[in-house]
Amino acid sequence: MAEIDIRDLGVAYGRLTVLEHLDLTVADGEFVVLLGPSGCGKSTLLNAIAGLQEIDSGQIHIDKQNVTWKEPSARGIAMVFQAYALYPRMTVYKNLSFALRVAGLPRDEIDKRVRRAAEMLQITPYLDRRPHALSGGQRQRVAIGRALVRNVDVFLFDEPLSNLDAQLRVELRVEIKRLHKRLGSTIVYVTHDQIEAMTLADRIAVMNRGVIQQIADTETVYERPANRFVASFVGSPGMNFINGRLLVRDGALAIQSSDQVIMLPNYDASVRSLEEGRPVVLGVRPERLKLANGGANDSHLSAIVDVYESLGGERVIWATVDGQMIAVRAGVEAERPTEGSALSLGFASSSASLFDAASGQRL
Amino acid sequence: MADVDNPAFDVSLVKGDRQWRPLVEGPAGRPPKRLTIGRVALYVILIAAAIFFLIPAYVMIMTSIKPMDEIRAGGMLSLPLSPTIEPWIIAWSSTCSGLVCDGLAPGFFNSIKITVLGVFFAVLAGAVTGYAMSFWKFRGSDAVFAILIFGAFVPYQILIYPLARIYSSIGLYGSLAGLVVVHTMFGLPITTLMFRNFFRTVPPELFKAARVDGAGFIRIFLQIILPMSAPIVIVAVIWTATGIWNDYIMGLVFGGRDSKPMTTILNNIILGEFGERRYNVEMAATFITAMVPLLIYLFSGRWFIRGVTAGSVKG
Repeated sequence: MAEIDIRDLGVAYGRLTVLEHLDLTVADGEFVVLLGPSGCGKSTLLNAIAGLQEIDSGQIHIDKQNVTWKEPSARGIAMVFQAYALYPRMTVYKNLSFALRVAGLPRDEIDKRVRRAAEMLQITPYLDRRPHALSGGQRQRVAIGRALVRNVDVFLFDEPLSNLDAQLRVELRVEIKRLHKRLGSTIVYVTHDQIEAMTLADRIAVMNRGVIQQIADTETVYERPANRFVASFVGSPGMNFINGRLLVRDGALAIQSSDQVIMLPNYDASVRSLEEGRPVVLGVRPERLKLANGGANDSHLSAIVDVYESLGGERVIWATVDGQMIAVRAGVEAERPTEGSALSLGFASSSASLFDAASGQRL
Repeated sequence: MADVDNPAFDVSLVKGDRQWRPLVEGPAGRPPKRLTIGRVALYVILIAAAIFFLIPAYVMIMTSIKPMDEIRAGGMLSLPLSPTIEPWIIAWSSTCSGLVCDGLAPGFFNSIKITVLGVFFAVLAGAVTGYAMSFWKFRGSDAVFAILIFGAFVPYQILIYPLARIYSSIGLYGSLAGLVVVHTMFGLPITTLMFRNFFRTVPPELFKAARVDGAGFIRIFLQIILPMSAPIVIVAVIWTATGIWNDYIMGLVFGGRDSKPMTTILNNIILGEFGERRYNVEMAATFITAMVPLLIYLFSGRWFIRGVTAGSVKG
């Protein structure tokens, strides 16, 4: 079936290296999202898979075939673009049928496939319209339809929802998810929107500076980020970071910040033999910080309340720990703390993350 | 944002009630029309400029429909007492250019042939070159483009002699085909520049989508890029048509005996007259020659402006 296997991929624009020694495997029927800030190389990677970007080294295999030097149309892929890229002088019907006409399919087969795709995306009433007479959401449906009619096993999405307003984005997101379930095709989806990434993906590949920082399912990326970049890029408000030095107390880890010791009795370090005194960064998600101690919250720290924000359904308390700003997500039942007062916070040390201060890698 | 505290804000409208409440105070509705001194001065200057540029055309037309004795009597600006279209007929069909007395007509049809073919090839070549350099970039394509554009600034006078030698050695000299090739060559840099600048405004994703759909170089050009290039095609056609129609030197040098354009014949008519100069015939001949570009601008000026500004507005 249609798995994608990328080996040792390298892409450079002149002297600027965009991707280097990149490996990525996408299983058949898997939904992988490439997530990263702009300029991280995620779109370049997608274009390389599509055959629209010349590569300098490495190989790309789709469906067990080496397609490294194949034309985009011969790779068994379809692509949906951010700016819709509908052919402006053709009707919706002609847009949908273009690839099939190029391939020289018989007319009744073309008609069957176009009508089926239009049915699926509810764009049948607009088949005779030109793209400029459609709304943004309808245009993107047509663009998705144009990919659907080709009956391929691999779909590539390049920020398909970024041009739409918030409500449509949610609507189409659900629709893409539904299509994936229904067709069982392999999907690579590029976005800089973490909500899109987390809701759609089987696995998220977080990219930065041309390197895949971590590739894992949503929970792992969120709860056990591989490094500080992933930890800070995913989540809003972002993960709280507290600088300190590593201590070992009674066989358990702890960190010494400038004015307190934070014990981490149940931290599951992935790196053994951690020497004391090493500069580290403790990371805790805002919703993991509780206003109470005890129970599962086996670690605690004290902070000073700075600003209090109400978001309707929840409260965010901004506080400082040794001069470092942290956010605490509290429920609506939480009492409003007075600014400047001391705050005692607890969290489960197993949910925390510890990073090396120099390399940023998870410990 | 509606200002709810403002008493002028009509809440009842929001609820679908069509009753209007009077506005409280201050200006409302359309701004009053005012005639300022600046406006008046502007119009005076514009009208004066228009008259200044229209006077030669007026004199030409009036002279061309006057009999010779009226012209001899003077009064360039006066209206004709007994208007006649005789000079136009003579200019078109029987005035002499050199030893041939067929009027402008043969030149007119030559010019039509030269212009239609020259425009077709110059615009097509520019469109294809601009397309290739915008979407099918190769190593060094920008350098090739820069060299090509440099061609637009080479004074063509220095190329005439070498080109004439080359033409005579390959047998193109003095033929319609040769003249069309010259016009295509000299038109290419500017049309390429026009098309490339226009294609810059075309989202590259459109081209990528077509490639994923399996279309190749020619199909993408003919079915996707060209159909959306109408504004720039019109500009390029107007531009090259005017240039080729008004060309004199290329037609004179490369046109040979049988494909001389109208401009060279007009020149012969005016310079080759013996005895009394028939101003009315000359004016009529000149006006007939100038008519084609004039009509092109009159009927496509709107498109020209639209094409020149294409891409600056979302379209």
